[in-house]
Amino acid sequence: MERAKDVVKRCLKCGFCVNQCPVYKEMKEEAISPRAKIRLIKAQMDGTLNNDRVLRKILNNCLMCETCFKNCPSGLHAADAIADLRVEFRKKYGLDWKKKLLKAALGDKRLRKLSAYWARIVYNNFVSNIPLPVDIPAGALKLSNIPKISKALKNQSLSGSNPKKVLYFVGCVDRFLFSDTAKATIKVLNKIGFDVEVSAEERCCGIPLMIGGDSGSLLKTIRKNVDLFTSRYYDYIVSSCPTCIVGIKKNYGEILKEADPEYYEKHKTVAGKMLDFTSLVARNVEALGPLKELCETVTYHDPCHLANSLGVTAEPRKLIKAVPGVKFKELRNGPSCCGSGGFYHVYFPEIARKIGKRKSDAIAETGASVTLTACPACKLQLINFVKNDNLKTKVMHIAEYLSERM
Amino acid sequence: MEKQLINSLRNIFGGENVKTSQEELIAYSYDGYLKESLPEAVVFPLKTEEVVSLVKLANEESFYITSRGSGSNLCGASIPKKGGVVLCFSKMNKTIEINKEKRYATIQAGKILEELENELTPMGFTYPVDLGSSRIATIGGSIALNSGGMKALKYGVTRDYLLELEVVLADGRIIKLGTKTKKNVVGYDLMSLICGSEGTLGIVTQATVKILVKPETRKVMVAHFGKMQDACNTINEILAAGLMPAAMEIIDKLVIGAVEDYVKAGLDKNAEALVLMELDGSKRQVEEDIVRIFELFKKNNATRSEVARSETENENLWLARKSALPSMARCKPICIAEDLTVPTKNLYEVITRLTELTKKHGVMLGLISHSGDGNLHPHFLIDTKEEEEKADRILEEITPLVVSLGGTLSGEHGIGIGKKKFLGYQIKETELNLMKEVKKFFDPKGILNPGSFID
Repeated sequence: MERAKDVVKRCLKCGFCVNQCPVYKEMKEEAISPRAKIRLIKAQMDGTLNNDRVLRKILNNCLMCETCFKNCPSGLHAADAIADLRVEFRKKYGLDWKKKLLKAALGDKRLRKLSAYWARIVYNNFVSNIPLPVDIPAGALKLSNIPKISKALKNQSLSGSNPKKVLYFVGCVDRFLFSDTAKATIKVLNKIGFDVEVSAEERCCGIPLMIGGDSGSLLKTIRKNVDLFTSRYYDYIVSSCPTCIVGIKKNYGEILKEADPEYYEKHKTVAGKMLDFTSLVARNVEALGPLKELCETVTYHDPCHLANSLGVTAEPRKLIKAVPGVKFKELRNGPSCCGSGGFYHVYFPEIARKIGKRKSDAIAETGASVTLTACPACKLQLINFVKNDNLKTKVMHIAEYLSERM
Repeated sequence: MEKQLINSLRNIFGGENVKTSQEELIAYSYDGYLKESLPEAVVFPLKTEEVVSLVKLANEESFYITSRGSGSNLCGASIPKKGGVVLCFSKMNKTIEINKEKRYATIQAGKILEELENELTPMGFTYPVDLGSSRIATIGGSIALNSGGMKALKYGVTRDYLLELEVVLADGRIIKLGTKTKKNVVGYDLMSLICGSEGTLGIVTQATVKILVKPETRKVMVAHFGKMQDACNTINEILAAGLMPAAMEIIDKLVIGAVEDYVKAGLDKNAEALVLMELDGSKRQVEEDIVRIFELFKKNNATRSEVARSETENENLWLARKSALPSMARCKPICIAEDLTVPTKNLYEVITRLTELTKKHGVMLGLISHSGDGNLHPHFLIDTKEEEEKADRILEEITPLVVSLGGTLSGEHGIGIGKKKFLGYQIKETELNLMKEVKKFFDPKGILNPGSFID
């Protein structure tokens, strides 16, 4: 609760975060704004609230996109304060069935693999092949809009082909659902001169557990991952999922500092090596060599954790513009959340749909035939919303885009 | 609030747009000012008729109404000081019309200034009232407080842009003030009276404002100074030279440090003062003015001065300036923003006195100034009740000087509850009584925004 206490104490209530919040933009009610969430957390700490029923609902209604942090001149992380409170509430009330399922699937290495395997079998053979009389919603997503699940990525050890070594932290989605992105990531990393390892010891990064307030399973997961990162020498630890990077780079440090000093020190030794895919490739853009010319209009959606939490916005643009002939068009009104927010869209599908619609309208305005992003969750959300609106734009991860043009 | 009354509100606004839970009431108990006070209900109108019904109900059932936009003001004007209903315009935020030929925009009260500007920019137009809080402030709120902001030096304040207002009076009648013509001298100028009345005379539901053609170009300049006096002299010499920047801002060392930590614009944290300036107009004129201004920077011992090289850099420097107030939470948890305004030539004198007073009382001071128009925002950074009282004493001691120089104790933030006790320093009894009569005439039962600056 230390983070929450600090945020609550220092918020001046200037309101700069309010209308930047994607949820506020749709609802236009102060109570769900980051400013009010901070004020209400204070009320909860002071003991002025009669009960916490409404507060729990309000705090769940957050995408954790950190747009408020980006717009806070005092640099306050409202999302951290909210996460602290969610942990308290989980201790008090336990998890609901959706989060219990998630915990079971993501908290254990083998179960994660098994769940993904069965999800693929069931989804690809039954759900996506049989035309359904009604479209089944999965949160804000339509089941029929979800692409077929690809086979899980295979582990690979370092080949010794290159002295520069990278541990590729694949993350659950790119490993088990969109392994095309993962394969493309490896191809690009090889091309710029890195020997790449995909480890069997990798666990879920833990962010879904953290956001859900499940601190117990989280610590176990974190320790296992830190063991992996420090098991041998790597030049970089890279992920194609920005949420994983925020988790392993920033959140691990904060959590371990309070919970496990020994692992905190261990984590500190490798934290500086953790990078998102676009940052590492942008540093080595010349090594990509000549890329195939492409005369297409391309736009780019900034993933929140990449743009807001890590401040990475120039690097992906540099990569997109490295492809000759590309006409790059920015989305209107700059970076804004796609409405996925991890499992937010499962709990608040109506708002998530509105936020997604705003995004697909902005994409439509650019007339882009390719829409790029750098996050698997954003990719899934964007695929869903451009399909809903019948847009003729292909949604891809930057890794796939580069690998196709190499 | 009684159940029956809540039901009446639901009949007017629909269940979704009436809020009564403890959490939602807390969310409307504050704005950008320090103090808080709980409402008994919050309602969201979508059209003017609903506001009329609410006012009629308030007359029948005797409850207070406090209007609110986004709650970003700094004087407590939108806090429900005596409870009652908060009338929040955030959902009544449509653009009714933007007319390029006749050069006006008609918008509902809840329209956020930044969003209006985003609609105008692609059309080649601008609404030049540019507030530090434009990203959150609504047009309704800025009319209630007659907001000024960064570019008042060249472009004036909110009041200068009003063409028409739709206002709901305290008895529920709707009045339409003004015309869409640029000239109009028929009758008393009630529109100017409503503007800046902090929601105490009527409820603005819709406005038509003048819009301007966006200037061909703009350039943002920054200069660092080793002495605050040099920075102030520069401002005065630029004005004396007949130059016409759109904005001239000064921030002091403490503020430079705080904003640089946020924006990372490459500002020199060791400088005692920084001048930020925007020039706009034709390319040729702007280029010529830049040369002359550089000379004045040099003459006044600027340690480093430069022109932003791109629109991104322009934006980033403005972000630094606009983040100045809220970034001060990096120093201390509470920040009291003051709003003294004096003739530009006296700026340095007042700054010197303020520095002495804050030293004497042991209060941390961060200075921001729209120096081109003499508007000075001393920020008292505090963390205890005791320090809050000290800040009050500093203000008591500085106010007579400000008034004697022909200045005002609030240039743009408003009085609200923040500066109510200082009103007597500036406004004589005869005028104050006249204002009280005006209030009584417009709102005999005193239901509109009670407790804000006038009773």
